[in-house]
Amino acid sequence: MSMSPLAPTARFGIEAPARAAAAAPHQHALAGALARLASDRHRYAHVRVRIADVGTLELDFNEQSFRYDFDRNQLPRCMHSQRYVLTAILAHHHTPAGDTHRVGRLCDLFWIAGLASATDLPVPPDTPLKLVQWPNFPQLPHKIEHIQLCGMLSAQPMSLREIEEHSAFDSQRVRSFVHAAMVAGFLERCSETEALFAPAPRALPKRGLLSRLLDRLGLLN
Amino acid sequence: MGYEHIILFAGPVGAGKTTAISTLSEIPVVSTEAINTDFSISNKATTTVAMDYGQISLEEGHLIRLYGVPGQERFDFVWKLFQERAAGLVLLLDESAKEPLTDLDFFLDRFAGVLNHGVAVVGITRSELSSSKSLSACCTRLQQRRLKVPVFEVDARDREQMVVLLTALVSMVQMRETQLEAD
Repeated sequence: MSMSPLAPTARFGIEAPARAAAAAPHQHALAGALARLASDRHRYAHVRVRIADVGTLELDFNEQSFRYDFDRNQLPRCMHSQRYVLTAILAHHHTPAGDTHRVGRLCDLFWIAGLASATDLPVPPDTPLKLVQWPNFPQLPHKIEHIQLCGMLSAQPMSLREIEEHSAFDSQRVRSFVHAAMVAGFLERCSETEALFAPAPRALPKRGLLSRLLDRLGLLN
Repeated sequence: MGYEHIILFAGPVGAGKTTAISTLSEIPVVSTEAINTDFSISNKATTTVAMDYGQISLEEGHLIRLYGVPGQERFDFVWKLFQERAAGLVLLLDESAKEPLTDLDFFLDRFAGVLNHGVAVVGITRSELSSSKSLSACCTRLQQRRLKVPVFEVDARDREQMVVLLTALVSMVQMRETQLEAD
């Protein structure tokens, strides 16, 4: 049974039944719960997630890291699990996970959760977004279009509407990327000053160096 | 008539520059490996003394040339030779080195010429046993230096990972060229 989001002061967070029943099915999955946690990341210091038949995740918001006691390759798959228990741990109850646990960056975990959860975007379509960090693509699940979109955003901040307009990708794919990148903290809203001095958005060239390379490597969409 | 796009591979001795180029190149790498006589820097049996060269040919005559430069500072004249023509820099850092952040600063300073007109990506190698601490530290340092440079953990022997790194770099090269054309 899934339990989310967490009650702010309780050791055991249990979602109210009425709210849980009203939620869409995908929101019951672990990915949705982690995405909600990511948007509320200042609320907790430590959260433990026990996933049935998989293992345990320990999220450390102070260190911006997570520990886990299972094969990393299982992470994307377990995001769809609805059989997990989330527990907020008060600081004086927290005992660090053992040395047998592996360690990762919290932003990487949230990227995986963001890709697997619903694409409810918390920003209006005209809000300029800036790329603050590239996802660690070689070690994370991704599509080639994510790299192309990061390349585009590395040149200038763009709003969701501009990204959709200037990229060759359909709206759903763009929204999926923006959602995951915002959940992970790789994309952030621009300040008004930054937006004011940002260069004009440029479109991805239809037949540029990148598409030639992707073509050569057999990776063209 | 196609264009040549030069990508430089730089970084300390033993970071995996020659391996990375071998992994990506469609031709056998033209290498200038010599017996390593300076074990104070690295315990490798051989090391690059002039440059490595590989390439990827694209349609319509376009060509991506991959140059690996030696890691030792005494060959810094080679570093200067290629910087003006390079569209992009792949900076490889060895996670297991004593001070990867010092290496990051050193090579960013020495290859500032590329960053002035081109783009860069950092690849952290030999991070199998790490907890991504170097990755986070490098990201923080680059933000402090106000550089928008992607940082990836890569295995220089893994073609899929190196292709991701190269694709990211080329996507930025393309955007930079588009901007320059518009300006």
